Amino acid sequence: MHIPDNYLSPQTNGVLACAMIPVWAHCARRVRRDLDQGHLAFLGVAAAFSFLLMMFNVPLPGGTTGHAVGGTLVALLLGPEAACVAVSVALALQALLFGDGGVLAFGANCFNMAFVLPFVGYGVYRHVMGRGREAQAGPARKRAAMAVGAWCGINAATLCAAVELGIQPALFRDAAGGALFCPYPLSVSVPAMCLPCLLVAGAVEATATVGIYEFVRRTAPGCIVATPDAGRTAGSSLVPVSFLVLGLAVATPLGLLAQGDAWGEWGVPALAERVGAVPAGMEGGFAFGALMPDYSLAGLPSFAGYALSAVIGAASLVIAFKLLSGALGRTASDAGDEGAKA
Amino acid sequence: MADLPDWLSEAGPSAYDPPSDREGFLRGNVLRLAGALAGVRAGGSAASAVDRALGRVPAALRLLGLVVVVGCVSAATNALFVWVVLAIVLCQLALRPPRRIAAVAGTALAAAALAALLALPAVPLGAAPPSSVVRMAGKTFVSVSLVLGLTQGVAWGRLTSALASLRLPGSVTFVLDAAVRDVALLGREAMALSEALALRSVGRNDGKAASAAGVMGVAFSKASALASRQAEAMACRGFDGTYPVSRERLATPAGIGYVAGVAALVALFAWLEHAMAVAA
Repeated sequence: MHIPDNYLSPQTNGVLACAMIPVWAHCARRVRRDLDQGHLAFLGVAAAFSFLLMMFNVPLPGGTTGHAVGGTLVALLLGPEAACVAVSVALALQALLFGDGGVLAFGANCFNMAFVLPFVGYGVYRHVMGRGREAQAGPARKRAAMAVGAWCGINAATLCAAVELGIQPALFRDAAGGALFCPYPLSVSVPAMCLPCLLVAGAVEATATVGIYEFVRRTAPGCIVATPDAGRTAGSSLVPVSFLVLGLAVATPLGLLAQGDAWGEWGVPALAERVGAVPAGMEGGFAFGALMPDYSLAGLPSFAGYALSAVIGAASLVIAFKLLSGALGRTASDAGDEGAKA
Repeated sequence: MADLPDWLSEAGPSAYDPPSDREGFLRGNVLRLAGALAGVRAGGSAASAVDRALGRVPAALRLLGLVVVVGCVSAATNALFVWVVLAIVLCQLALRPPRRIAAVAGTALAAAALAALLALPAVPLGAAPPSSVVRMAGKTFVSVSLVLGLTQGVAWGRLTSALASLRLPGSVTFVLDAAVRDVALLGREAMALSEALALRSVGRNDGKAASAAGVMGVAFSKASALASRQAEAMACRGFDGTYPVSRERLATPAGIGYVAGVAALVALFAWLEHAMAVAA
């Protein structure tokens, strides 16, 4: 689902990046207003969950691979706006440090995975639970609502990515009528991306969402803001959660067992092999030299490089959000001091 | 009313136009520098589970381990070892509270940026590939983070004991101990002076450099007075150059575990260097 550079036209990238600007602004305002310093720091852990889940590739029907995103999970823990911020930062790290997802396509990837996914997932969850009846719902119903929300969220995001890729040949053609960018039309991209997601990736997302949410609910219920349990809002030992993050990071090489690339994430030579020629717009297109491309390090076995990348990425996200929480905490206390002086 | 000064008892509306003078220079430079000096001896409090675990390791072993790991990081000819140590450093940082992270990461990032800036001209001149600039910045970040982690996590008194455990002459330990104590004292003095200066600074002050120089001058005079007072006190107490410090036991379970971890890193370093040499 990470659209690489040059698969979308600059116009498409531009429109989706512009569409994300007000979303980011709104989400940043809401996060600053709704989350205190401790929960803002926990947002880093939630972003690390999302980052790590995206590294667990699973084999999909058709010979491609897919992964969970964890956007609905973060939305259920801290709210959809916080999920948008967390997944956006995780995607930025993936694009800049690991070359996963395009730099030019960052807005498009954020639109799909950081905006559509958590908002749809959280909205469906609320709808299934029924407005104002959350307190009466039993744990089984709550878990079912989470699973349905997560499944719908990732499928909505996949559909968006498939449509963005599929409209390229219809909108952007060269003089000879050949596709300039992604060469696959909607009739190919939608079934190729959505069917495996409906069957497998959606179930993986739902399982991961319910499993990790339940773990956090039992070990650190105080960290849950968006869907707290009645009478269980205290206690927030992050030690078990930290161990879970570390365990997931160490286990990420399991994602390498799934052979093949995700649909629409091939390199230019691999795409040329499939379609017989390189689309004109992709030839000599933008190429960003990431520091650790494809989560690998030259000279290190792939599993070790993958696990090391996971540890560095997850730790970086936790540090970034802790620094942000510290800075905002200081700003708030400074403002409080100014107010007291006034 | 009778005792009011002339300027205050003037009739008519008062016309005070606040000058646009900001205290950024004073606050951002002199106070920060003085605060950093005052905090030299403030280390030693555990901020996370990892810090608590490392706190059980004898300080002498931590000091030696730091020297060995920083040496390996500096000598590494491939980026791989640096990435591995970076992952360890980031994990340690991630478990600390935001204030501690900011203290370490801010300094380490500034040092890394400076290292990259210094190495950058070598790239257009063809003397080094761009990757070497990244590697140098990474090495600087890792080394500075490790050193700051040690100074924040180990109290200065334990570090002094560690120096004694490493068979350093008592006079050297004494000079270091006295120097750090005096630096901290002077830092507190300079901090108080700078705060007094900031409070008394009314209106626009065009002579900030002179003010800062004044603070430094007073601190220097104070340093001289402290040194002479200390020398007199030591002469009175019959100081003969022997500087007794308590020594920690090195062979503790935590110490053995720490040594095993450092040994594993050294083994990884040697293996990677050997592999690089064979590949070349």
